[in-house]
Amino acid sequence: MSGLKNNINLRGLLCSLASLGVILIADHSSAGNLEQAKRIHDRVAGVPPTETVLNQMAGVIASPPDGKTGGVAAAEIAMENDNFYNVTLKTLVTPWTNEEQDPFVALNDYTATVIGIVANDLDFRTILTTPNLYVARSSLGLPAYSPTNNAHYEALEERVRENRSSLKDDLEAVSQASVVQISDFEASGVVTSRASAKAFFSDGTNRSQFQYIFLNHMCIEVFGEINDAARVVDRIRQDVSRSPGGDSRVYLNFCMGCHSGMDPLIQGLAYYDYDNNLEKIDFNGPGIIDPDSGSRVQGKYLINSNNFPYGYAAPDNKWDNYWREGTYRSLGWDWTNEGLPGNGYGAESLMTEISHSKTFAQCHVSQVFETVCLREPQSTEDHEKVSAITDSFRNNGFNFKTVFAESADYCKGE
Amino acid sequence: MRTIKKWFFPSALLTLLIGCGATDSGQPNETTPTYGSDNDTGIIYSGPAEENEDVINYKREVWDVLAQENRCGNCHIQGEQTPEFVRTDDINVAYASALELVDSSAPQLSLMVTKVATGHGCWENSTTACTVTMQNLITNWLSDPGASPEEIALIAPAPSSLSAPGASLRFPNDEDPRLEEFNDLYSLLRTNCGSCHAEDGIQEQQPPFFSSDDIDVAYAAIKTKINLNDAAYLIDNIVGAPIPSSRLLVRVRDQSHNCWFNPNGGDPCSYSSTQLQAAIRDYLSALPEPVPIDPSILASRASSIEDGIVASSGGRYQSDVIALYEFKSGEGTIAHDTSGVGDPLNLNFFGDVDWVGNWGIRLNGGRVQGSTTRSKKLHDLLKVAREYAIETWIIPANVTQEGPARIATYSGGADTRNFALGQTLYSYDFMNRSSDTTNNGEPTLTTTDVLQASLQHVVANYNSLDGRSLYVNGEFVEAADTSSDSTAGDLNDWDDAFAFAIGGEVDRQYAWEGSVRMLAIHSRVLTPDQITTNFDAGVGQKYFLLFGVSHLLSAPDVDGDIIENQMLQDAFVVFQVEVFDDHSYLFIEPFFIGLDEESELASDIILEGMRLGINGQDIIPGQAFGKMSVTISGSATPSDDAKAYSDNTQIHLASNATGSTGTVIPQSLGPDIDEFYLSFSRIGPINNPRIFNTPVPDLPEPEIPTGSSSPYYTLGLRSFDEIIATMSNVTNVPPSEVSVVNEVRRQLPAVEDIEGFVSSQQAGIMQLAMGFCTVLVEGDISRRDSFFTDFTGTYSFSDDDALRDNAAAQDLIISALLKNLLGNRINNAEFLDTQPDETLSVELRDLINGLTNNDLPTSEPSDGSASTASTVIAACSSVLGSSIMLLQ
Repeated sequence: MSGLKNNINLRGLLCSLASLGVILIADHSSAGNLEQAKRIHDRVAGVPPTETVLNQMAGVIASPPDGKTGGVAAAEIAMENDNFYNVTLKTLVTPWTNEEQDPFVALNDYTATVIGIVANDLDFRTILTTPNLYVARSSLGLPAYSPTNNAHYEALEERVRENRSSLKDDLEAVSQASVVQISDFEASGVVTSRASAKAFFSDGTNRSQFQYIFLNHMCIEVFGEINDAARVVDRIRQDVSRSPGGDSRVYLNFCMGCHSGMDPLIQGLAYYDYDNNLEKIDFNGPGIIDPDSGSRVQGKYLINSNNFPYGYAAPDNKWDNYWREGTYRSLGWDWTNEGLPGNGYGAESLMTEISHSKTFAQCHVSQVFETVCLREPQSTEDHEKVSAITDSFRNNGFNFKTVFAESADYCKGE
Repeated sequence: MRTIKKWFFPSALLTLLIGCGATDSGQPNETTPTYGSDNDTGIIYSGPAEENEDVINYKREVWDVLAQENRCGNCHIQGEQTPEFVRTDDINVAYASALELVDSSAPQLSLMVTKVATGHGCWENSTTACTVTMQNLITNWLSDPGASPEEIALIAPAPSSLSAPGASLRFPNDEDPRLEEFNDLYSLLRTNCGSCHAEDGIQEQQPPFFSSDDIDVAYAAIKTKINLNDAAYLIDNIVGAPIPSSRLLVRVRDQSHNCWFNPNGGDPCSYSSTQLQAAIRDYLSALPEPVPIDPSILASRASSIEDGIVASSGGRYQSDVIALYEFKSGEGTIAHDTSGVGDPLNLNFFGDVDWVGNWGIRLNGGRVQGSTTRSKKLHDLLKVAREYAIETWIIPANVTQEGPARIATYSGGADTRNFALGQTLYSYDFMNRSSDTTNNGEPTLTTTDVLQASLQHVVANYNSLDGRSLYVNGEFVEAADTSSDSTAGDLNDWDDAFAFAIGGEVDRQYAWEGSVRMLAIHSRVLTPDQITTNFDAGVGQKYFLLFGVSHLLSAPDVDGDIIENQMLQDAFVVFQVEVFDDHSYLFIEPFFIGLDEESELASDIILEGMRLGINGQDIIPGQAFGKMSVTISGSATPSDDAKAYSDNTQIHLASNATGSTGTVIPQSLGPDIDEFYLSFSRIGPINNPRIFNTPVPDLPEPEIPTGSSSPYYTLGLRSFDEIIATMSNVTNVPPSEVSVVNEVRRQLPAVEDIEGFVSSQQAGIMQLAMGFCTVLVEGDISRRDSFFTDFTGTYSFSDDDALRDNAAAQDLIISALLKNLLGNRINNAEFLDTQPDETLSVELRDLINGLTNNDLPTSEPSDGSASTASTVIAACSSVLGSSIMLLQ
């Protein structure tokens, strides 16, 4: 075969492709069982179904099993596809793992842990609280998990690209304490993963970590959406200028109403930092005294203290949820009525407080809805459906797959 | 009367920082280079030697400055006018005379100060400038190196003056229509004050613009100049009510400020003030009735800035100050040098410069600048001293200005100077002209990133031995380039023709935006201890406000009412308060204190949930003590979490580790008028306190967002990894075998939104499709044969003519492609309505024919037809890279 003949005429091909595109770009809004099955599979697994699977899904849509709608049962079949984990979940979760919200970054321990929890049908809220991380099965023979680099997950991702591994089957849980090589390490789900630490504990004041937890898991932009001026301001740290640029109105009107509730919550993360030199999470365990604070509190919590020396200087990692009162009671704290006290020490209890709110559940339902329906909830019916799916999420032990299944059912087409 | 101490904080005593003004460093005062005294004024002192150290201090700090004939020396000398505190024949007698005129515990109350404050003998065109200068001179004289700060008294206000928070009059809200009566007052001011106090004033255009052409601007300005409490005198005729103190009235009535013409021929100021008072009365009469404070609130007695005890009037080290700007006058267009050293280097306003509350100026692109003649004293004194320090309290407006933007400069232009302090983004810059630098003072000493857009204390030190150094907020700051921080040299090349300016270069370039609260030039470097002292002293006037709480400490009666058999007389919660900026107050370091030695605390008391109120209303933002809970015990052995009570003892109610020790709250009517109070959620005997439960508002029902009727797409794109996985799935080619995957992955759609689709994404998809199809056709043969199993059963990919004009062979290829890639023809019979139908095969056949016969209508000239493999790759790519794959 000559090189000449291999030189496909690019312009001609483009012309042909464009022609095909014109023909095919049409909205078929009505759908039978096969069409609904096809759409469900596309949306849930990200890839078209095989003929066998399509028939199987169409079958359950036509004849739903007891206790389920056909669409839910079909979606459950679609979720058996590896690409639900390799592609759909990974694409959903990856932007949560970096400040740029870049969906293209490599698989990491944050992403893998969320996927592992979904794959194992665990309570989705534990993504923020689990003491474990999900790593590649040891039988795969990959480089071991390292707290200082991401080689382990990049190797696993390469195996996935080679169609030799699936994130559905090849992840297993290990305790974070066993792999981060810090004694008495307090793990708290993906928050204390290496990817999260690198992205959100690095430098700064740890408010970044909080900001992105709220953005990704509560769907709230704290620095723009939160403002409750009536909360007590006694825990706003010293580094927050009370008169930015010489105008206290900026503080009183724009800063205070968020920091008053955010700062006492972030205190729960006071023992964490990211070591930019070692490229690993830094945690002040029991007995470790930070030279900058004289306590276990990371020095970053006391930086720029002269901005307002009368502000709060955190002595420990006790957090309090001031938003249990006031405007942000509406976030639905302790949604399942477990008697959570609204305060505590450290990351794990803080993340329990956050993940056990109704807003946490609703946020993730909304994100799945958008993933599956390819739009944000728009109509009144959409919003009511999101609310119903959120309730169902709770009633099904916060199994994330139920959210996908019910969303896919709703958006499978008429 | 009680004494309290502040400096030694473990002590129970609160101290006003008086008598400690010059130093706390423990180092002896060294002689400041004199200026404007013997050598410069022509006044030669040749009398008896000073009898002791204090006389020496008096002569250096006070006599040398005031004895000049253009100051007090014209009258208060021997044989002229008593008191003869600047007599020239005997410094010891002059000293003795001066001692009678000063109050060592409160220099600001010295007769020499208060007399000048009336305008008596003021040698400047600003009474405030003379007053501040006189106070500084006396403070410097009375300073006693190494001495402890003197104690001052906290006096329990008389019970009659402890009033409940008032049912205050209030101005109508901004959104309410103004009262009609305001128009009369406005008209009077517009007519008589509009030449200056308006933006269109034909004279100075002097803020505040209460005579503005824009009535809304005037209304906003006037609200802070009228004291609503004047209603008690003007309207209610309450016996004992203070005379009206609205600033508008005081300026005209008491200070004869620009009184207007009296057509009757009498005293214009009496006429003006009568007119003004009547207009204010009429306006106040029209205000809505006051809303009384909720009687169920557990409110302290009220207090205001006016009631406060001055909390500091010194505490700074400034014995070697040669130019000092405290910006205390707050009006006019001159920033006065109140150092008292030599001819004052006053600075004139140029461009956009405003005064800010509680001492300071705000530079909005303008600058303040002195004359070259007056600036020369910097040259003369510092060149001799061979060292100096620039000390300032500033608030940079932002962290984006650079140039460096000139905070303070002594220069001839943008490229030539004696010194400058500047800002570049997050860094401070210090330029000093020496024998080791350029004429512009370079290389510049630049700090690391320490600059913040908040109040900062900055000291730039230079001496000929150690060179330059910078301190921010009391701490030495490393230079970003350490090679520049040791540039010492000498000052011999300083130019005496330069001018000193704050806020911009003397040629108007490199404006610095921000606020300057204080700036001092010292003729010596400040030691680290002195820097710490001055940083700790802070800036601005501070007050102690005493809020009476005795009436709340008794147990409530059966009805829950307050009973007046007070358990602890003269009990107060005390705050240190200052005007923070133009819009807020700073309340810090609250403590509880009992000032009555006779009464005892019979049982433990609790103070819980303390909130600040203003003008009879609870303040919404800035409550820092709402979660406070402190138990105070009368027992000598209180429980662990209780604090022991002792009369005359500060019991601190807040700490940094348990919460903030201070907070910022918004101003309401302004410092001259606002009245504060405290309220508690729980206060009194711990076993039976008074309780006020703030009602918790109902949580509104969650709102289901209103549905949008706007149409939306039911279809979307596959995103990047979905595209790759889909291509991999339908071709059975692992992505790892397609090298182009990594190259184009970021080029593919990141989101499903169909409206976000752009041509570059299609180009990437096409490359990817070609990549997969190429591997499919040219890679693993068994995989290819499996995919095209019907074709390979009859034909061969190695036969380049297999497809040319061979409809049967083409059908087998097209069929395989449609079956595997199209995802249609389910069960060999059913067709999905949502997938394209097989008329697509016509397009594919045309493509194959075109390629195999080299006659594609849009193709570029080619010298040969495509091979079978290439043709199949093209056909495969055209399907795989099309919307068949892309849409979901």
